[in-house]
Amino acid sequence: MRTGEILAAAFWLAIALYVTWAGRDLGLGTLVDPGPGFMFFWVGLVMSAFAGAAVVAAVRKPVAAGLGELWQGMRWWLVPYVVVLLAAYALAMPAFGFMATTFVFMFILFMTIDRRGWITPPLGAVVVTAAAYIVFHRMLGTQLPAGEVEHWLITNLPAIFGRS
Amino acid sequence: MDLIGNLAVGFGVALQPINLLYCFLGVFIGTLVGVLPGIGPVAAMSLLLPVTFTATPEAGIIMLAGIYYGSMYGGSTTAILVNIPGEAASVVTTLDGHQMAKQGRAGPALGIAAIGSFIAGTLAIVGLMLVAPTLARFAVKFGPAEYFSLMVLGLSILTYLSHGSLLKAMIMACFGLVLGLIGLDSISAVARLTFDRMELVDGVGLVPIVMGLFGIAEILVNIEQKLTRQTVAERITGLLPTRQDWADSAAPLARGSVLGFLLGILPGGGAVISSFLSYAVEKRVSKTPERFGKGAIEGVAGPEAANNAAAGSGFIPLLTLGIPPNVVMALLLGAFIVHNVQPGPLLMVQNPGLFWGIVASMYIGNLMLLVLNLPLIGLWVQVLRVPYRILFPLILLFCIIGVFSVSNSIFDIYVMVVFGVLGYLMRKFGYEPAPLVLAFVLGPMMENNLRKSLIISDGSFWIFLERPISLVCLVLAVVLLASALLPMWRARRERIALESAN
Repeated sequence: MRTGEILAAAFWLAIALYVTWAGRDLGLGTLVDPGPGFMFFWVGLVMSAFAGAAVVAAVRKPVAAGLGELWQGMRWWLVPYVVVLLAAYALAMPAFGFMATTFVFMFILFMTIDRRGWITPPLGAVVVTAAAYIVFHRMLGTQLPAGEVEHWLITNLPAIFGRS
Repeated sequence: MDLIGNLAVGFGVALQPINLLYCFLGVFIGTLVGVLPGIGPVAAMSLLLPVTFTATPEAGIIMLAGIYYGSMYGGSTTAILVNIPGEAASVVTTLDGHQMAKQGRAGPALGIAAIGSFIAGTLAIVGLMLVAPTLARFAVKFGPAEYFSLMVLGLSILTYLSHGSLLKAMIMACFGLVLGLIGLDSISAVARLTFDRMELVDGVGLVPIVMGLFGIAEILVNIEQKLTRQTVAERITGLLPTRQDWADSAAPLARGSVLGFLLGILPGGGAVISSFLSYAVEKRVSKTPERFGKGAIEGVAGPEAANNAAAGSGFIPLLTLGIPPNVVMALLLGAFIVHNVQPGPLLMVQNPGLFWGIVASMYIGNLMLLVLNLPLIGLWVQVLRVPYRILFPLILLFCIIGVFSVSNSIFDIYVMVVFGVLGYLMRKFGYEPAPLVLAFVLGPMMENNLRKSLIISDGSFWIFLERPISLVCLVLAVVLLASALLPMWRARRERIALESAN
């Protein structure tokens, strides 16, 4: 765990040093008229001191179990999997719209994590998507993205059918 | 007479049908999220914040407040029946509450938790009603220096009371301050740490940060371990405690209410700390401390009263000083600002209907909770049987919709995901998110008050030491943080943190 502690503290130290530098770059102003970087600079400096102390404290700790101990016996691979799915969902939503993206997202989650049976994933995905749309969009008036594809279909389908 | 007149105004507002409906929705959703492990009041309030945009300020705040104190009620149900606290303030209820359930006394445990919560919640509202006007009159005298120092004290108390390393909690508080300052500078209009992203000009949103750190991170932690739950299988009967139960619980209820009320007012204090302290007090004053942890009803009554009293009194610093004492109140502050209402000493004068309407709605909400909780315990048990593999995709979807609907921005979803990952790693490495979120909300206010103080004093830091209230706050903050360095106090703090973490 010591490696993890050192890495975490070093990460915060890097952030703190960057904030201190950014504060100075933004302009400290004077004490009578503090500039936009005044607070950043001082908070960054204090944070650097704390993070530096955390690095020292971590280094002085006795070497114990490694970083892997934190994920021992865990289904750790599900964490990056869900994060990637979430990012993909956010990426796809503007293009494909809320309904289509949510259905696929829910279907994949129900299908791939602790799945029980073959009926639940598609059925669950349909029910959840429809319920979310009705409750949030229709009843609560939440704006949900229609998506470019859905928008294109709405705009062009009547014209296509009208022509044929 | 004034008080009765004000209360009449408040009930006039709270009893309007639309406000009653929002109050009911708030306490119902609050109980539900309290029952469900994996989604707490903070995430639920963030999720429903956009829903209140179309409502009046009264209705919106009444609903959000209802979610908070409703979750305190609901949290005890899971703690007693499943041995999983629905939210952090119910952690100690698991110790004796679940033991009582295993001994076939789930009914009295749930009953005393609900009735005790009602009594403590009501007492806290009476206290709020009496203390708030006095404090508001006093707070009018506060200048920027006093506000700045009070916020420093609040952050110090919260970091001191955080689990684990004080250093880590302080790093989180500093990081929260920095995040809160991102965006246009309010005086010079210079873009700060926006990395040329238009979405960051108005700063990072509170909701994506909170949903990421509390909602998504919680899910990531839960899905990597297989959650198994054991509900109490037998039918729950006899919810009303016996005469002996009442005799055993009366004093813990009274002590818990007073303790919770006092700790709830303190900036940085709150429901979690008060429930732990109440348990410790009850164990210490008991003539039979060996019964604790084995099904002592005092171990349920005291902490449940304490966390509900703290939930009520937590509104005092927010409504009278405009300073949120904890993360939940920080979210409520966000809701006030969204509705263009500035909480603080002038709220009572400028907007008496809103102030007293919230107070009156809390009476009504507590009554609703009592009526809701006792007969609906069967329903909550059924909710608990929903498997996590079905529940977590739903919570993920709610988080996404909640974040997106605040400003219809996909960018906010990315922010939420980033903070979700950060929150997950923070839990792994022992960094607490609460100081980060409170500092994030206080950051702009602190900067504003610091700059104003320096301008007033011609650039002299003595302004913070010359004013008595400011001096007291700063001295308390320094003493508190310095005490954590003394070996004896450090050991005591670590013990409290360890007990809380366990």
